[in-house]
Amino acid sequence: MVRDNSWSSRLFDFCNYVLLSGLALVTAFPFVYCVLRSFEGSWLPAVGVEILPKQWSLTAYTTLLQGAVFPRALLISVIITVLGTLLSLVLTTMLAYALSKKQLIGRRFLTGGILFTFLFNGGMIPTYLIVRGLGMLDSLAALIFPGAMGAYTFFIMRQSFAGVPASLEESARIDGAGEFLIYYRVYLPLVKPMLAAVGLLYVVRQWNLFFDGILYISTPEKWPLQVLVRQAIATASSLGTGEALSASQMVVSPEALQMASIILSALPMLMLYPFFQRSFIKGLTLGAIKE
Amino acid sequence: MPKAENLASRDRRSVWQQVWRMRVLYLMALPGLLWFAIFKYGPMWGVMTAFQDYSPFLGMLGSPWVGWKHFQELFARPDFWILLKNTLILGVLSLVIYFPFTIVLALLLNELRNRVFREALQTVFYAPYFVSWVVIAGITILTFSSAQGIFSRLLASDAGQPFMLLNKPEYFRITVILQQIWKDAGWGSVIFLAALSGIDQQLYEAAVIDGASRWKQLWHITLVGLRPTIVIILIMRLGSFLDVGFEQIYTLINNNPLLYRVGDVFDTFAFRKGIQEGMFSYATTVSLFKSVIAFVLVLGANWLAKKTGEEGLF
Repeated sequence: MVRDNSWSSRLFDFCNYVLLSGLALVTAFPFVYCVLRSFEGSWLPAVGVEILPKQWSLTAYTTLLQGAVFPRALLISVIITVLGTLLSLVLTTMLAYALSKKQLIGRRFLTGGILFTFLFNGGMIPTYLIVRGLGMLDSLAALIFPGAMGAYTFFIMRQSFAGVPASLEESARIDGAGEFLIYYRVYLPLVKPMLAAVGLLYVVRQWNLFFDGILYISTPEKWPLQVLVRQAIATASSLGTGEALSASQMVVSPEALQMASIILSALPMLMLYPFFQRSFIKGLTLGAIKE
Repeated sequence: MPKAENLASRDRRSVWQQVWRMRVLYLMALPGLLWFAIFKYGPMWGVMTAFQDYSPFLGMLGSPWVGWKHFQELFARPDFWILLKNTLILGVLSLVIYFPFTIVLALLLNELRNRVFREALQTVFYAPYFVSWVVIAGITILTFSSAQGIFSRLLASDAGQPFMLLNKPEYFRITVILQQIWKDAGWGSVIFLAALSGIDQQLYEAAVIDGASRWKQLWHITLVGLRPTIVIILIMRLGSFLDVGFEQIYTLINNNPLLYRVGDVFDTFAFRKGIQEGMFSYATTVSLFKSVIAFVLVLGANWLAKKTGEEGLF
């Protein structure tokens, strides 16, 4: 790139740096504020611009993690994230692999059928009735199956399979490998970056699952984490025990508890994504930009 | 084994032979296809309940048919027009504020010459995309709409009453849009950044030699190069125009009737009527109306894109 070093151009660069840095601060501040307030050990009401805790304490976190309710929801979220992501990846990659074969009879028809779901869907209530009809209501299956796939992830997966050179497959065939073995041994390793990107999309989806939780799960003991955190914020029920407590019985201010529950539910994804950022972006843009 | 047969039957047999030869591929596709059949096409069949007086005891096949009755009722209800208005206003606001914001953000990030600094900023901008709407709404409520919240205290009235954002319907819409920008604008800019990196650098070099200023380069090279991507994303956004996220609105309204008038959208309404009050047919009609309009919008946007000489989605 040729540098334009005129005075006005430099001024623009300077303003741009300031503006974007300011925007980044605004983006990050609410999270930072939340983290700091979650360490508040004092019951005194805050005054003015008070951000740092008056008394540093981990009580909010210990209360949450030693309670009965929070760890259970955490475990449920871990389970549906692991199982849901595995199921989604198996379904998506096998389907995308099969439909990436040009000689497959009926390929266009089937692909068209999948594309159509991108444009038109039955909506919330009919989907709910299907899930109910399958007997999945109020079970963890309802948090794993209904959202297991998306047309978008299918298409970017199919595109990366289609990009694998045919010569690799042919040499494996000559060695006598069957179709499934070729998919598993030749193709999957070659699309690893995309697999990571799609996998992470599914992980984020499952971990942050909220709507399906309130739609399908009625027993509080089966709530995933996001639904529990939501309840803790919407109603002033205590996260420590699962039932509302009077203030005198509580060891930590409800605000600190709410903040801590927010941080704990957001933290895993915030720590995970920077490691995958590159493959993630590669995966997303490959699907959307036409050559 | 050569056999004397007429051509037609041999052709047909060869199709079956081919299918049989690729049986493993079909088997591999089967679980995924079944999933689409059950969870995507199943509900489309269930859309029939919009034309029935659905009762859970009679099921989908036993409930009486009532034709367009639910639609007529729907259009006759004042609720419906409020829903439509709210959804359209939020959709338009999102289109004229959030959408250009993502493009401008990408353009500004693209102008940063210091790579390390740029990637650090991008990491910050992407972060909120990875947290749930529960967290976003939670932070919003705890800072702007609670007695202890920092902004609630700073914006307190003269009488010392804390500022309660969610008791003020007049701020609801702008809150939704700002939340959207906070959560997704960074992530939404990724696609435009990728398109920007794909623009041929030689065009810029040639422009500089011709004496084009940075402003002129932006106008004649950068924006022209971005146009196909902008059109595609615009089509996709139009398709989800009525899809103002259920989770976002639901977590913000928080069953606060004060906000229904400005905040209720098709999905939250369908959820309340259908799931919480059991009016399945009525709620399905609301969702169906939404799906059909969305479908028409995508096709229309795609047609428009092709008219203006851009590639459409399909």
